[in-house]
Amino acid sequence: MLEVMSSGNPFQDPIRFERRVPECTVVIFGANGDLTKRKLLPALYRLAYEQRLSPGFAVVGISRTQMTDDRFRENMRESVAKYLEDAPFDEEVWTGFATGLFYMAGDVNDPASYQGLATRLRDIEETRHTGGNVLFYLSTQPSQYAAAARGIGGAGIAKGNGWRRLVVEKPFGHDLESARSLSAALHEVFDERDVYRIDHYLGKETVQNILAFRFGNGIFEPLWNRRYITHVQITAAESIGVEGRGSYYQEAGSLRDMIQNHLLQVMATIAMEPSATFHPGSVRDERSKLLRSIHVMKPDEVALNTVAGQYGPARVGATSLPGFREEPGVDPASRTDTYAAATFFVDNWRWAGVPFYIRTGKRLPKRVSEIAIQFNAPPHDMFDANGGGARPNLLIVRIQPEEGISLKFLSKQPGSGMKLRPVSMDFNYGSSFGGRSPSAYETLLLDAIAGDATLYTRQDMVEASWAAVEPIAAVWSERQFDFPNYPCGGWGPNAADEMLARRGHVWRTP
Amino acid sequence: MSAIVPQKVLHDLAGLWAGIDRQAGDGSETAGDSSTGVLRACTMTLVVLLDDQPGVESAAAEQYAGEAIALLMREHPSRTIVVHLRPSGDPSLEARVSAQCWMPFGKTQQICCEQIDITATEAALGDVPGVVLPLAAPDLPLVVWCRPIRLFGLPAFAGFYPLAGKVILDSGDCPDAAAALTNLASAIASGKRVCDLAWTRLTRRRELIAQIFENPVYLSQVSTITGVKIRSTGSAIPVSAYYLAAWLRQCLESAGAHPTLEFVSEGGAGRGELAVVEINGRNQVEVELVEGAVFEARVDGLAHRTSLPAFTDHALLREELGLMGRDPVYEATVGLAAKLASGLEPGAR
Repeated sequence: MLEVMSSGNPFQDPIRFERRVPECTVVIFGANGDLTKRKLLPALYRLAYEQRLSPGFAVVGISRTQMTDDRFRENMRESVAKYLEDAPFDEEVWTGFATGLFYMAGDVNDPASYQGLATRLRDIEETRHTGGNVLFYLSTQPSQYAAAARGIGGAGIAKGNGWRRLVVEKPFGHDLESARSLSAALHEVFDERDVYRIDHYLGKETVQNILAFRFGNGIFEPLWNRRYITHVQITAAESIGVEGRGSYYQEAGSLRDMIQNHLLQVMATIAMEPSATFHPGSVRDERSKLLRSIHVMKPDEVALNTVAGQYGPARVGATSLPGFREEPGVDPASRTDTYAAATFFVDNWRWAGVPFYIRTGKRLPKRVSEIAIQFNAPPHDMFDANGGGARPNLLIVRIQPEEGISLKFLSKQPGSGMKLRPVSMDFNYGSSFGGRSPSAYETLLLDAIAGDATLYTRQDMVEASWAAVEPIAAVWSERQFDFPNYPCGGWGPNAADEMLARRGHVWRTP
Repeated sequence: MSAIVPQKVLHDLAGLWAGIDRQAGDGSETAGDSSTGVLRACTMTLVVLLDDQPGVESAAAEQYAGEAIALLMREHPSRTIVVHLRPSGDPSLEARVSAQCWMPFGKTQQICCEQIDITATEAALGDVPGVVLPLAAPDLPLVVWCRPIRLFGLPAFAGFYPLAGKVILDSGDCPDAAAALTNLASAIASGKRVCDLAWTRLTRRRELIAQIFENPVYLSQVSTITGVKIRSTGSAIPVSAYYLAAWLRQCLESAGAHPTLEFVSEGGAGRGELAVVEINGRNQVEVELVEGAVFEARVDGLAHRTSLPAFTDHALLREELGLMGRDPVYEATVGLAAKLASGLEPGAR
């Protein structure tokens, strides 16, 4: 007898059928912005190309610019063709997809815009049979999130015939208090279960694979604790500077822009306890528990366990690169951190005493995001000098580029005698699975439409992250740094090396 | 009789890789952090059995299979062992090695997979598993794709079962649906991991049906379904018609409906093709293959057309290689399909 799916549809065959997502309309606020052009529309087009979207799928773009539906379609066509990653552009697929694209000019602060949107959504519901399902996507300035939510609520479109969900881009506040205020404003209109805070790092295949790697295999989890792991390094390096985002970036800085959200989420995924089930609530509970277990630093601990940096000018190759203070839109006396490193500890039985070193920065030597887990050295070195300064085992999870996992271990060099040399065992996504991996936005958009919040950040997780980061930001805001303190193309300030050296560790070179 | 020395084949393979590495100017075999050069990729051993007979038809089939293998390697990089079976002559086995490389879109590093071609006479088929075993990539799954379905019934084919995590067949061309389905049902009942591309071809059609019943209104009426009619073209009812009927009956019975089954052969030359499925109850549901891979789903007269990817060997194998575990839906269906085709169940023929 066939097992009937939980949905009650006796014809479902979950082993073979693609996950079905319901008909819906995605409303994008900030439809003329960079995120829409570079990420959202290419991701939605790609989902259409893969036939993952339902036939009546629709997009309504909203921004202040006056534009017809056709002009919007043409603009989006150019953007998709330009920014589509690792995939060719198919004119025929685009033609079908574009019939579901609509546009309306509107101001986030103008109630009339939402009335117009309500009318548009009713029309689309009738003509494209979307069942009244709507995903609102806030791709605007963060300062407009609360106004947009209130506008949606005021026009009565936060509820309807189908489900209504709200996707919010980071930053979720600029400190703990503002994060709470933002959540309160969103909750006036949407229940927490309908708020999807997007952290695109969690949508990356390799970050998702951490769960598969840790909890789908039997051999790693027994080693995954303070008895066998000496420390963990999480690196998110960018080789580029602020690339025209100077005015935004100088308000945010790398601590708020990267560590508070992306990198603490990655750390939570690496360090969380196993979830009993793969249910969204269960996985997010474990992530949240871990974030709440991060030791909140006292001011004197901040000085020892964190490093702020800002890049200065340098010649890299044959190119002269400006320092941060010389970037367009940046205050020449800016005190913003373009580099941040921190040593976090987790106050629980599994991780007590194990440092988690996190670093991120701009204008570092290369674009790379990696997690390195360093295991203890053998308790006794029987090979002495032949070990060539034996290096401990290192497990590296490569998030980007060349997603994969490597294990470094020692091996005997061929020939007489017993000389050891470190070698690497590599798993590479590209070669093992071929094809292309979906982009983080493809994964996350599909999840939001399907109502799967596993990879989205919950309010308690946001607050726990801010609780860990806020004391650092508070100390840094009071301190006079001698910026710039690292050159473009370097691996950050010397103080970052000293931070690890105090515990006998060194940053690895990715 | 000539024979294959597996050790020599493996040695040739090592030599091939050394040559590719030299050509690429990069001695590394693994990705590491190198962004150029060649990457040797392997996630399984794929054994492909092909007819190697004189004639245009055989040559075309071999070329078609070759194209499917080349495309498959991109998503399921494997050590491919292609066994070309000649119908007659002295029992003999010969082997040669080669590599297939491609440059992924937007990347600078080539990915290469290895292929071992074995030529054997059909009389030597029983010797092939013994050669394949030492040539298989260690600790990785081994899948056998047996393109000529007639080999499935030969005693010599049994030697592949102990090696294979999965055996892929295609009963789509079988003139005797009852015999093919009975053999498949019997293999599965005895614990062998066998799948049939004739069943794989039904996935998208089954998915369309499932999608229709995602609508809560239609789903609530499932128990009112009283009959299923399956129309097919060709001189005989095809295997796929029995699969679809068996699957629908199982699904509907699990939802409390007890439909009658009716098969209608619309005649015509050539092999039978599934044309229309009608599900009759309070709602009238029809799914028809209009042309190529374009389907029309009609519910109470409302029509919706969907264009699906063509049923190429590549597309079908890609789906099967993505499923290395058990397939409970297929396993539950094949037995009933065999009974329907053999007239052992009511509503058959």
